[in-house]
Amino acid sequence: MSDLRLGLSITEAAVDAVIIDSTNTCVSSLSHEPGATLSLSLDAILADLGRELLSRVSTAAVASTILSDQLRRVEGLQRVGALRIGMTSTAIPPLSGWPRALAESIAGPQSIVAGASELDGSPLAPLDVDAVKRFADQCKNTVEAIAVTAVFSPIAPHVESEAIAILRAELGADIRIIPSHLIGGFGLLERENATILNAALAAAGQFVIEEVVAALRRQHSPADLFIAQNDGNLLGADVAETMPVRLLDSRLATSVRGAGLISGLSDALVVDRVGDRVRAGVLREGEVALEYGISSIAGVRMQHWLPIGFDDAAHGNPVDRLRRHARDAALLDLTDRSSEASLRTASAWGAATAPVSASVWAIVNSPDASLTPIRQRAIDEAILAGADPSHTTVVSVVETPLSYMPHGHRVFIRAAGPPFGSGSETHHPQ
Amino acid sequence: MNFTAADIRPMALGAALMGGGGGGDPYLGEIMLTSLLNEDKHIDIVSLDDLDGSTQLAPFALVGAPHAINEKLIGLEGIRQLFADKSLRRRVPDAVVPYEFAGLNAMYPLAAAAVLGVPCVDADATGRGVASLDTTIPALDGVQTESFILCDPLGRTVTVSATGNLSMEQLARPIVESMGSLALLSTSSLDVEYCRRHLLAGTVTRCLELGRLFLSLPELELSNINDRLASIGAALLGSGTIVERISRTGGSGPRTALSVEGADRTLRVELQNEFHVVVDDGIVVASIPDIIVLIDRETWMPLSVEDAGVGRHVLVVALPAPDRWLTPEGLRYAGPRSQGYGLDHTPFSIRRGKS
Repeated sequence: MSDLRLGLSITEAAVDAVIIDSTNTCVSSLSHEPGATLSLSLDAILADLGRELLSRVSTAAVASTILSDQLRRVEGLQRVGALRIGMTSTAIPPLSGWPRALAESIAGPQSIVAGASELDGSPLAPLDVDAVKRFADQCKNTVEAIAVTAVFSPIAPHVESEAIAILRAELGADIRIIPSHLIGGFGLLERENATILNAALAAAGQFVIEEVVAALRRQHSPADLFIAQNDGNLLGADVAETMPVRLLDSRLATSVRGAGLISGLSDALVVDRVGDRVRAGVLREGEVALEYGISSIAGVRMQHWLPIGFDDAAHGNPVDRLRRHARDAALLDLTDRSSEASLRTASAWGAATAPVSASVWAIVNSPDASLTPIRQRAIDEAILAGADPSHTTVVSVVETPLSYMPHGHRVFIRAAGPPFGSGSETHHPQ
Repeated sequence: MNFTAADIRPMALGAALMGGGGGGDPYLGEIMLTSLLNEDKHIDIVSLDDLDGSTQLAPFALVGAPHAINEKLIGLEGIRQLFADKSLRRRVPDAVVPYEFAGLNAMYPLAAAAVLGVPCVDADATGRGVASLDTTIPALDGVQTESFILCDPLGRTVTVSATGNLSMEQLARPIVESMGSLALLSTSSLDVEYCRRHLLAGTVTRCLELGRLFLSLPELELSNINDRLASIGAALLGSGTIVERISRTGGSGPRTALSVEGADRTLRVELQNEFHVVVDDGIVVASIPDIIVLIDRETWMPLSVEDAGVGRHVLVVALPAPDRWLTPEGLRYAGPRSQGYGLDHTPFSIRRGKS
C-alpha cells in the first residue's frame, strides 16, 4: 500500500517534513534546524522519518525559498545571452529596469534582430539570419545559457524555434537555450524578463531538484517528486527542472494552504516569519487567494500568479494591511509561541496536499470563437506537468475584453488535478 | 522647466491617472525617458506664452491597442521618419506638443522632444485620456487639423486627409489596424496662434503636480485622503473590493461593469476603453468627461480597465475634467451620451473632512 504523501519545506531557518495519508491525517511531522548543506539537511530529516514510512510514500512535494534567497543575494546565477526578435522594440532593450547588481551578474551579449510576428500571427519581418549568427558568435564561451524572445511568440512560437535552430548549429547542443513561448504570457518585456531569469537560474534549479531526488533514493524511497510553484500549485520534477522561475518562492502559498488544513478554517489571514522576512497571505474559502498581474520578484518585473499578500523584509504589522481582504477572518500566526505547534509545519502540509496545475493564456479575436481547444490545452499541460489524467479538470476560466480590439478577448484557463505518483492507486481527496 | 530624472516617476503616475483607465501603461515611457536622460539628452518643457510667434509645432501621439504595444514595445526610429522626405512635413518642427497627455501617450512626446532636440510644449489637445482621435478641443472648436500622418514601427507612413462625412477616427483607425494596431501619429504643422487658441495650456505641469500629490497618498489615513484630494478639486467616491466583472458585447462594442463592494455600500463602475460612469445605489455619482480612476490599494497605482479584475482592492477617485469639456458643447463631445449612456453628465461632489 502506498497512499502516503510527503511534504517538505526548506528555508534558511528550518527544514520541515510531514507525511500525510489519504484522509489528510498527519502520520508524521518533524522540524529540523538546517544542516551545513542541502543534502545533509535532507538526509537528516528523511532518516528521522524512517525508511519504513518513506517506502509507503507515493508522492513527495517540496516548497522552498532557496531560489529566491539566491536571487536576492545575487548568488549561483548563470550568465545569460539575450536575443530579442522584433525591431519594433528598440527603445526598451533587454534587462531594462532590472536592479543593477543583478543585471551585471547575469548580463551576457544582447541583441535585437529583425523578425517576429504581427498580432494575428502573420510575419512582421523575415528573421535576420545573419544577425542571429553574429549574436551566436558573441555568445561563444561567454555565456552558459541564452534566452530567446520574439514579439508575439505566444501566437507564433515557430519564430523562436527557427532562431534556436540557428543558434544550435553555431553553438552546439550543450548550451541551454530557452524560448520565451515556453515561459508564456503576453507582454514582451515581462515574458523576456522571466525567460532571462529562468535561464540564469537553470543550474541552481536543477541542483535543488537533483539533491532532493538523490536524498529520497538514498532512503530507498520510490516516491515521485513534485515541486511547489510560486502560486503554491505543484509541478512534476522533470517539468520543474526546466521552469526554475516558477519555483522562486512557494513558502507563502503553501503555508496559507497548510494553515487552513491544520486549523480547519476556511477563511484566515496567515502570517509566517522566517529569518528576516515576513510573509502574510489570505485563505479564502479553503483556497489560497491568488492575484494575477504585474509584480516584481527581486526587483524584476514579471507577470504571474502570486498569493495576495506580502513577502517582505520584516517590518511593521502586515496584518493591518491585509485586513480589508478578509474583515472578520481569524489570524493564524504560524510562528507565534501560543499557536498550535503543528502550524509551524504548515508549509510542508501545504506542499503535500497541493494539486498540480497548469495555466494557458490565449487571445481570441472572433466573437464566436470556441474555447474548447484552449480548455483542452490547459488540461494537456496540467497532465504533462504531472497531474493525474483521470482527475484533471478546468478549475478557472477568465475572459477579459481587450481595449481597441472590438472582438479581441484575453482568455485565461487553469486546469488542475492531484499529483500522479507511479504508486498512486486512488486519487487524493481535494 | 528642465525635466529631470526625478520628474519621471511622478510624471508617469500622473499620466496613468490622466488616462482614466486607458492611455496605455506609462512604464515603457519611464524606461525610455530614463535611458534618454542617461544619454545626456535634455528635455525642456516650455509654456505656450514663451514661444516665438513663428514657432512651428508638431503634435505627437501613439495610436493603437495596448495589447499590441505590450508586445511590440516601442522604438524611437519613427520620430525622425515623420519629418524625413514626406510631403506632409519636410523639416523637423521647432517644438513638440503632446496630443493626448495620458498614459504612455504622455511620455512619448517628451521622448520625441529629446530625440529631436526641441522643447516640449506645456499643453495638449485633450486634457485627459480619450478613446477617439476626434475627441479633442480643436475638434470641439471645429478646427481639427485636416491632415494626419501615421508611421508604423516598420517605417511605413500614410497621410490621411479628412474630407466629407468621415471623421479622422473613422479614417485613421482601420489604417492603424492594418499597420498592426500600433502607429505613431502627427499632423500637419501647427502654428503658435492656433495652439494658444485651441489647446489646453498647462496640461504637462498639471500632470506632474497630480503625480506628486498621489505619491504622497500612501502615507495618509483614509480620512485625510479626502482633504488632500479636495485640494485639487478631486474626490474619493468610495473604496472596496471588486467582487464582480461582467462584460457583454453590444452594438457599440464590448461594455463592462464592475461592482466595487465596500464596508457600507457597493459602487458600480461602467467602463469601455476608459472608466466612464460610477453609480452608488442607483444614483450616478460621477461620469465622463471627469476622470475616473481606480487605485490599487496594494500598489497605490491606477489600474487600467483591462487590469481591474475581481479580487482587487481599490479606491474609486474622480478627478475634474478640464473646464472646456464641461461646457454644453464639450459634454456633447465627451459626456456620457457620446459613449452611448442614456444619461447626462453629473458633476461629482467634493467632500471635505472625515468620509
